Amino acid sequence: MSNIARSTHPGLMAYVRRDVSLSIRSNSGAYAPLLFFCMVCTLVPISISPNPQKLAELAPGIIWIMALLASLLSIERIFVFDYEDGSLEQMLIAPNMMAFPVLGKIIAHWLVTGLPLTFLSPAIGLMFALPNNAYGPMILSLAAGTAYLSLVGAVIASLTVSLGRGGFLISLLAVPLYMPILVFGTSTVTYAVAKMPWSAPLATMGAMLAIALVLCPLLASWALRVTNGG
Amino acid sequence: MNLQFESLFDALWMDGHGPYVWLAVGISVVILISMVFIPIWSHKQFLINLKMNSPDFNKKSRQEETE
Amino acid sequence: MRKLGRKWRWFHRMGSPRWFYEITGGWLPWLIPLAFSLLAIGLFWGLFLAPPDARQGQSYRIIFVHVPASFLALVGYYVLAIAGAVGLIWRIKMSFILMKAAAPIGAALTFIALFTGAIWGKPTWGTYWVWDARITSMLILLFLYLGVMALQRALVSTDTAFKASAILALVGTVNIPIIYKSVDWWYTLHQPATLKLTSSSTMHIEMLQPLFFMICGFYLFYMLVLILFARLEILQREKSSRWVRSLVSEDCVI
Repeated sequence: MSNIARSTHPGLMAYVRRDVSLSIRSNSGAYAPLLFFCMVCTLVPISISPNPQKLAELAPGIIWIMALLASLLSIERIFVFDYEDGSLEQMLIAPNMMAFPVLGKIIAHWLVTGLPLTFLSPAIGLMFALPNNAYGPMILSLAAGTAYLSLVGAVIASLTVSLGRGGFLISLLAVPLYMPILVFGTSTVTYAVAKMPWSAPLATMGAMLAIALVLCPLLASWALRVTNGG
Repeated sequence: MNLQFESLFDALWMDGHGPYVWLAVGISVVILISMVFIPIWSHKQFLINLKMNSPDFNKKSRQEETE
Repeated sequence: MRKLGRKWRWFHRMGSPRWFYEITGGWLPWLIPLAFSLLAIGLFWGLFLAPPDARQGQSYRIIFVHVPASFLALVGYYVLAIAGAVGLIWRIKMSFILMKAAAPIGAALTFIALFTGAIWGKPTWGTYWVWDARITSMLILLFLYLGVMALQRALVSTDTAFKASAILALVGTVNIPIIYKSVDWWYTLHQPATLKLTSSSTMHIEMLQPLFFMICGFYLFYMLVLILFARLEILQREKSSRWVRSLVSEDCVI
């Protein structure tokens, strides 16, 4: 037992470190989702209304939709590079449980997209005239929610990895599964804006995140095995 | 149990709700019928294609040509 | 090797596509007229003989299509997911074939449910579309069906496509109650469900009789279309096998 723990735990961290540094060093746009998040948020006041009251009302929904789309845009990259250069096959052959490298990759994906986005969101909130008491719930809900998006998205990405860059297919498959977390995430922020207790939706998100944290790496590694002819 | 409508026009018009009812029923019936006929038709086409491409059939037709 | 008990023999025989193809070929001449006559009776009864609703007037007659279609659309997803799970667990190919056949049927029924619901909404509530729990869940169900179909189509190897879409179907099944509850919690302004199995129905008995016919008709229709799509899939998959070839060489086809 201790042997397994010793052999997997450093392995997990190694996978996280490897994937984070790979996506930071590669020029193929690890920051694209973040830029996308900012750019599209700029479009909203221009197209809808610069009126601060209206923006504050729309802010929770818009920030959350943009976070979801940013995660969706980047999720296909989670396995594609490893699939193309063959290291995914190496991981599948390795005697270790596949779920650990997969979890490492998911954590890395969250560290590169979800977490910076969470840190960036107060700036967007400021531009959208979000009331002061909504920042805490927004940051908490985005931190938990983007992790959930990375986890569930990884399952979908593992089903479509052999198709290369099947962007359209990924969005078709993932959006229905993203719906619940969007509902709870937006309502956490909306409740906070309306000065209502916002802990219930946030707690639900936490529960969903906990379940996803257990199930999704297993499902994703199973799906990877299936789609890579195992 | 009786007919609820006195004339054909009444049945089609349904106190003003007729267009809604008939549009909904019509589209549904069209979809349902095509759900049956699409697989039956493609089944038939597939069997015909298989027959055309089978070595037996080609042999026979070649024989007919030479005759 | 352990000899299979008699009890399990049918289960494994059912796994053979050829057996399925041959046995269902004999059912079709009965199933087609039965399903269509039930649907015709139910539809005629519902549209012309059932009394108008006290509140909604004549427009409620749309439920004779809407309710069975939504019912079967939901049942269809469970058919899809269970067939996928059976295929994954026992590696039965026939089960995967049924799963693949269930996806387009479910999508079509979900579309019918959404379409008739929207048309029904206009005279009843004054709007074609509201974002409420049940309508939104049905829309998401349509996306789930389309997703299974798209994944099935996109993957080249049939075996991989079967397994991958079965996994997707299972993930979707876990999500359906979560999606429903979350949307329900978010927003509800739909009228309460009219047909409940547990509590007494709010509908008049003379309206329930044709509805019962329609639901039975839709069940048989679902079975019929599932069999038809599965037979087509079997034929396409086994086109080079000996039994299909001998089928083709016979004079009368179909």
